[in-house]
Amino acid sequence: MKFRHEFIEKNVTLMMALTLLVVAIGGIVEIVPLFTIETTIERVSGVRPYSPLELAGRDIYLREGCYLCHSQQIRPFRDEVERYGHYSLAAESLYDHPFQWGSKRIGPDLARVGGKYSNDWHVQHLTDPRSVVPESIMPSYAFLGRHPLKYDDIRLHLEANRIAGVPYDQAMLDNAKTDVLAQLDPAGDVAPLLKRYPGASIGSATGNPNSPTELDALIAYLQVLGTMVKFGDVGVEELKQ
Amino acid sequence: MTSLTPSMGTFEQPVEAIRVPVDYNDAIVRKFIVAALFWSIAAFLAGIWIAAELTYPSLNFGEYINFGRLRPLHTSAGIFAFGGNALIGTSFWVVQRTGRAKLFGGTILPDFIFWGYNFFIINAALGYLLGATQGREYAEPEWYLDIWLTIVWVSYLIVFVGTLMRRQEPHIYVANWFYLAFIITIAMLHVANNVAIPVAWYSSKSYSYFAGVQDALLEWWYGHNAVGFFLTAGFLGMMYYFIPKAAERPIYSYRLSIIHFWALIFLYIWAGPHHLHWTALPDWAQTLGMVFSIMLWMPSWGGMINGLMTLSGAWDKLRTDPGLRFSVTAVGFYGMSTFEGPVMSIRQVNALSHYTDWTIGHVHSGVLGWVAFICYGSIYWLVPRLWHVKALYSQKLVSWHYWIATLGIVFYITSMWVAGIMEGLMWRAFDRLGFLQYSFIESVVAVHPFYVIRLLGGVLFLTGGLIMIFNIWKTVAQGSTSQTNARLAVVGA
Amino acid sequence: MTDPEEGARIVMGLVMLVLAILGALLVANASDDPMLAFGYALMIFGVAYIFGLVRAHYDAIDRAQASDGLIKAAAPGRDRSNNAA
Repeated sequence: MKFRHEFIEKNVTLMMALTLLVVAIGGIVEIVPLFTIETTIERVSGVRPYSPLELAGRDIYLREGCYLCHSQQIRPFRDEVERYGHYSLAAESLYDHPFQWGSKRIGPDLARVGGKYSNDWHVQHLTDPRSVVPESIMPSYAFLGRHPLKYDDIRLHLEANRIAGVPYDQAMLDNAKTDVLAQLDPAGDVAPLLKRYPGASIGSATGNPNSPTELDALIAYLQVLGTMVKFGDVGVEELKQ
Repeated sequence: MTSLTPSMGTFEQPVEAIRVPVDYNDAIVRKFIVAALFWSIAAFLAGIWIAAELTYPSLNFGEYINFGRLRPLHTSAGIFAFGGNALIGTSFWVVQRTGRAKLFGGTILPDFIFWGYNFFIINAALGYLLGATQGREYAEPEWYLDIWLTIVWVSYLIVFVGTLMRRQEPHIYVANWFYLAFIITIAMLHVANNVAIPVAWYSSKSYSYFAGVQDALLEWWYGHNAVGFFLTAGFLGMMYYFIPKAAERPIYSYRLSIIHFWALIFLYIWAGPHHLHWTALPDWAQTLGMVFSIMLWMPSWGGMINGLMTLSGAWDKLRTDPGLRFSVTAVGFYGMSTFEGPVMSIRQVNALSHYTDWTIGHVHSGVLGWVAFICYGSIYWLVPRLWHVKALYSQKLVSWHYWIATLGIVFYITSMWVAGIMEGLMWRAFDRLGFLQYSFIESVVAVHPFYVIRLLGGVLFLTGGLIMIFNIWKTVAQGSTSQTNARLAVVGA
Repeated sequence: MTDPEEGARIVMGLVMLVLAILGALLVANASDDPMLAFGYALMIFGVAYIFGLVRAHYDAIDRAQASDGLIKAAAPGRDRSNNAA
């Protein structure tokens, strides 16, 4: 019997079912293996969940739409590696809910901005970008320095991330609030914090550890970007995807 | 396939009510069209403002209207507010007329869709300004609005399918296939892409359930198919009804429409990974995305050919009907950007074009040239019929709108081509000693003149939009005065 | 003559009532500005929608009476027959 399209186009239910089937295939074939193929994410060590202060900073990064001008994904090209550093690994955004790879570089890539500039530079640059880079077209984020950081419910944020699969343990949840302040105060007892979140950058960018601002949090986040994996210790095998 | 049976004859041309008149629900279509026009201006204004911010950064006046918060407002206003209202409104016109059936759901359900959808848009916009965003492009509205939109969208599906089910014509007209595919696929994408864990029921903040590389692919599977089904399939539905109507010709090829429909919806879904070339996404996925993007060129041009060739024998109408000129130019731009897209999806090309303004230019040749123009063509055809007036207030103004808007697009996309390719080349340039030749900021300085030209292009496009609003305002007013006059005449007699 | 949409209007009104209350709860509990704004918006939306439904209800009664001949001429102005809510 010859197939006649007429049959489909006279039957709404059939048309809907076929449409759904046809549009579902591509997504299933591409997306499901990403969850099942083990080598999708490289087996490098060092990637850890964000500290509470870094997470709060990341929320601000999202809120201000930083991802609309700055990518966080270095491609494996000579110029990019030279300009920004080692190309980005999938493992490095393992705990990024959501990912922030971006799609446009109105400004430079930020995947490895952590540790490149001092806290003071960031404060100055975020407050008045053109005082540091005269030709910059970045908006001023001076208001972040005036907004006190809201972190009363930071534990809830960690818990939501835990449901989504980030391995925050009980101690991390219990100390979420105190860890925010601990990370800002180099004079305090930072050992437990650093045990939970190795390599976290300690210190208040604005110089007042007891009343953290949104600027402190954002800078703490920027300073950790791209620093978790120590590429000196990584072998070729571990980078295989 | 056997040659055209009589029933297929009716299939090929949208059916107008000639037999028993059906009491169509046109009030709802009027509402959506007015909303679409309103939001189009909002989208253009936001676009111009952020283009100006990139050109003159001192225009970033503090937190609420900084670039980062306004850009999602611009894209959402353009795609979901302007495009979405135009799509839902025209789909309600088309599904009623081609099936000769009154809209399903009485007045209650369609009205809920209208108010509910626009409530979603207003709250999304408000949220962006106040800092609520999921931080995922084109899926920025937070979890509570995602739930709201799901409810509205399911209502939309019910009304649309309900109307199809009570149709009097045996065949479902081709425009409805595209509208239906648009509704179903957007539902699938929206639900799958917005799985998120809210911090609390009273907090606007949520975290995407997925992370990193999986989150990235899911997001661009969604993002690319927002282009494929919201900005393409839906508007192809518009093309398949309004171009034959305005040209008074049947669709060029019935068979082509079948082939290109199924091929388009099948292939589009695979193309998402081309947004993630050279990233940490595994190579196999990138390659799949590239191959399917290139294949996608064929069904896209199938649609273009079907649209353009519908005018064969009626090309003279372009001289007399500037509204039709919009529709036809739209199909031309559709052809252009669906060629440019596959080219940009080739990994080697993408290595240069990605992260640059070339992408921005490509998007706008699609959304201004194709989406906005096909809307304009359809709205100019619809308005006199919706408000029961003989003709538009001024064809001349339509013509002015056409030329000003076209010039605006040309400014926009040419400046972005130059800016994008220049950025790509500057970033990868090495000097003779093997050092990077340019610092990043030098590329920012270099594109400044092209940002000025882009801004000018945007202003021209807005000017065209305002001319349209004026023209339609006068057209509608004409109708209401003629009605008043008729009533007065009756009273006088 | 009863309006066939009367039942649907009542159901929709109840839904909107629930939404308005939900909006009020959000306003009372909101932990951030966007949620506060959404709570207010939801509350206003629900209440305004109910007003719209009430208007549609009386418009329908007017229309029914006009067609029964109880009112001699329909009220001048816009014909709202398709414009409920």
